[in-house]
Amino acid sequence: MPEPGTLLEARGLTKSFAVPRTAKGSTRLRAVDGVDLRLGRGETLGLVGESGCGKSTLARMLLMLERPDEGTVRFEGVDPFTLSGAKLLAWRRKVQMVFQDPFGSLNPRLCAADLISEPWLTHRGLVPAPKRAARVAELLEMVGLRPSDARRYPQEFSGGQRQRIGIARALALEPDVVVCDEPVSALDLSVQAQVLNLLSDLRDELGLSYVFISHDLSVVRHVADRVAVMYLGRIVESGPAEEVFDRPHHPYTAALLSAAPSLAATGGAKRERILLTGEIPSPADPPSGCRFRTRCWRAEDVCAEAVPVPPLGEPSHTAECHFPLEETPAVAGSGPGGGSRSA
Amino acid sequence: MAQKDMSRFRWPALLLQDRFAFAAALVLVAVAVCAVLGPLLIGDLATRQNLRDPGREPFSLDHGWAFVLGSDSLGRPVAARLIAAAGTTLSVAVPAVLCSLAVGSVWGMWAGYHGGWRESVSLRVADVILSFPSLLLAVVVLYVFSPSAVGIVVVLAVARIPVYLRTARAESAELRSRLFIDAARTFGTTGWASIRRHVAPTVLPTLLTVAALDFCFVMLTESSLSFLGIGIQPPDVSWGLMVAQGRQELQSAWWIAVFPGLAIVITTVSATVLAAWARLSTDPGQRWRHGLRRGGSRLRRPRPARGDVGPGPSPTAESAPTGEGPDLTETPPPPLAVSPAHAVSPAQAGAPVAGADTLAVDGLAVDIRTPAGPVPVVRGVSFAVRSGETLALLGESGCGKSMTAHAVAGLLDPAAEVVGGQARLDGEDVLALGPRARRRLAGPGLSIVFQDALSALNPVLTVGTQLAEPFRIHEGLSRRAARARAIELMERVGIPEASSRAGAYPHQFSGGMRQRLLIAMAVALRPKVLLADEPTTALDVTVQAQIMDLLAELRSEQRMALVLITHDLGLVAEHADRVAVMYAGTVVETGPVTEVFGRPNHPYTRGLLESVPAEQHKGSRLDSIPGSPPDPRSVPTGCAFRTRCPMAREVCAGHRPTLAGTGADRAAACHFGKELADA
Repeated sequence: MPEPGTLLEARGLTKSFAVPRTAKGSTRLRAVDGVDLRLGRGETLGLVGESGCGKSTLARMLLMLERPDEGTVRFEGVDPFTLSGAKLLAWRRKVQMVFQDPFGSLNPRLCAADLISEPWLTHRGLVPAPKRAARVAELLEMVGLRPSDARRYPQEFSGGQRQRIGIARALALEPDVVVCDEPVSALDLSVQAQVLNLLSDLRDELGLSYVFISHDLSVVRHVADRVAVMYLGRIVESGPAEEVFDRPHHPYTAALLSAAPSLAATGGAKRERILLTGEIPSPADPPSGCRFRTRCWRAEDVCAEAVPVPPLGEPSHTAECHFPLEETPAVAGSGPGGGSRSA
Repeated sequence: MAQKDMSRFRWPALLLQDRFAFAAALVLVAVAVCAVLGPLLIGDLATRQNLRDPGREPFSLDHGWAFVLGSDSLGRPVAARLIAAAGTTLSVAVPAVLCSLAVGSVWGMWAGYHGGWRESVSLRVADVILSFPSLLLAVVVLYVFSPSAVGIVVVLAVARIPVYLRTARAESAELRSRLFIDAARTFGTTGWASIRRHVAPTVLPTLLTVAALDFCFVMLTESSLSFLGIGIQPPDVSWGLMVAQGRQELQSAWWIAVFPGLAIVITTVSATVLAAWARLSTDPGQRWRHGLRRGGSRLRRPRPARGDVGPGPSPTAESAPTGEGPDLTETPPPPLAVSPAHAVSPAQAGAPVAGADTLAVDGLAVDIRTPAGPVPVVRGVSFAVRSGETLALLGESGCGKSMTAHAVAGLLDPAAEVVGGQARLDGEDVLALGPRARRRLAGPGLSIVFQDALSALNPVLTVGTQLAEPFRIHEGLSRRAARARAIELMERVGIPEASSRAGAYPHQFSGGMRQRLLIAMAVALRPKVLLADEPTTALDVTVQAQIMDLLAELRSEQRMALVLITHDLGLVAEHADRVAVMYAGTVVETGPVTEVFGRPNHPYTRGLLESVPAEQHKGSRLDSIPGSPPDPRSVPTGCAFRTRCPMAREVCAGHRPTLAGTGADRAAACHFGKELADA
């Protein structure tokens, strides 16, 4: 049963890929391993994690670019994987994607107008052919480009402008949900701010919901209402953005926050940092029990034995950890004091 | 970078540039014209026998143009028969090529786009067809069934399908993983629609090139079959058949066999030349290279070779008396906009005495050669760094920060060229050194850490061997001693179980470990200056923190000067002592990080700092700099930042601001730098 206001919901999503046998004899790489997600109408859900944590695979499953091994995706209560034909097309319309790479996601042989109107070649009824040119101009203006740019080719635009074309193309089908996979990480800082502003303007104007995937915490912090932190294919912590960033419960979230270089450190005052040792283990051979235990400074024996289960009581802010950092009044920019390995 | 310009080149213009390709095209057009208009021109001349006068010598116009190449043993004019044969040859080759192209490419794109079993089955079918020698297959089939033109076309078409199938499959399988195909899937565009819209336009140019090459093969096969007597049958005539008929009389009447032979050779060579040209001109990478060579040779002449210049002042900085002139005009700045005024030395800009600097870069200018002329990408960069200090070169993509580092390290791409300035390492200009002297400096003097550690390490050598290399080259150590030093070094940079892992290959290490290896290699010979070009951009934040700490430790341990090239303001804030902010190929502001970030004296620095989605902006609109960084080919006149600057006034369009002191140890290249500093 979807909760009222829930637009997109994922339950127990699991996806694994076949890999050559690893040292420990595993042949499956579990990119996403039992992920639950919920996106409310008009909400922005930030998905944070380092490379290889499965956030892009998760996004691809939400868009039906990959079929999950287990679990379901529901959009307004309908599972798209059971649909076909016209109903599937109608579903496709509702969920669209903005890709990370503004160079690879636009076919270099098509001009801006062709790129933006491409979805209408499949969804023929949506915008009648005579009105398409006008609608393209409208969309171009909406994303801050000139209607006269319609005949230009992707290679004639800068990275930020290309990303705007990608956004216009995603909006061509008038979706309800836009999944943004690292939409600004390929852009320069000065341009990144423009695109972030554009995304938030469009959300307000069109009532869009975003799943916003990024490895950049400051960006997610800026746009997201709720945040889910991923590590090795699982969501280890989720909750309202403010709470997660200000009072992280999971040691990994705390470490991530503390590792991100920030301008606040200017002045040479070395802030206390949690410096994690080692790197993210291979998803083909994840550690037993808690996945973060190999890099966690709070790990004890129980962490290797049992998979931590989030507490049932508090549904808004949960962390999968045996020893969450609840009491520690962590402040952004400086790591939690107790038990941290500082540099 | 020049692809945009190059795509404007239309192919006839490109064809005219290449004499060989043009001649080849003319030959093929002539053959095609003969084939089409031949029957009208010659009527029945080709088959009319004249037994009274066989074997006429060639090169005589006594009997009309048809006999200009002589006549054969039945008195038929060779020239007329050649023209008639062109028609027959093309009528076999063209349909055969078109059929196999159509079937093979559609099949291949379908197999490649879908992958999976469709791909495997298609490839096995192709393998089976290819495993029969196609000429032999044709011989057998044509021998069993009666030889006919249609038979040849069918056999050759089937035999050549795998060639197109495999090419189309490979190209579309590569496209399958491209993001724009994924994007199409998110709209619901799948299967044939996606192939038609995205795959076919991308794959077809390659396939047409293959077809041109294949045309030669088919033509030769048809000639061979006709020569063997199982191809085209008399009274029809083809070039192969003519050679076959003329070979008995080769000694008495050489022209009967030689002219059709020549026709075969010239046509096939032309088709090959044209195919090679088409491949070059449709591949953007190749075309770019092609243009470069021309551009390069044209450019180099007017300039004195760099090797001739001693360690004295650079020629460009001296020989630019019109330095202020071009800046006042409305035309884009000339390629050599490095006037003496721009080459402000750090000493003048408020930095401490140059003698204390380990590395002092002064007025460095780098051009990239493009077919459209030289493009200045580094336009007078000056900065200095002392030992034990970290200087951050901060800038957005395309601002020339990496190019600056590569120029200083002597690692510029062949297309780029240092056209002015100095880089003094302990007082010695490394840019003026010869390659041999430079190589001696690489390692103990200056070394560099790259962004992409995987491609910076040699994949086929063990890391132990690679780390031992600097010791073997520079210190002449034995293999064993160098290896011991390498293991020591691996331990120093924090690689666990160093002695056993020295025998491993780079791909067996994680991203962070690879970066550690690269750093180990760079600091092996205790360089005076370490250039770190985006050393952590490819890494995750938790690993980035480890690497930055390692760099900081090594810097203080070895008293290195560290030049950190990055676009990350946070990284600069945490790890650098001083910063040089770059924009459009120049340094626009320098100073201690705390001061520059605390109170920027250049509007660009200020804009950058305000663009950071930091806490205070939460949920609200971010302040951003309008527009995007300029293309190096069209940098605005005067101040490069003026088109995006909120403070720009008239003076900014006319005069390019130079780096001028705005406070102790600080400088900004802005007409209002002083005002910003005092505000």
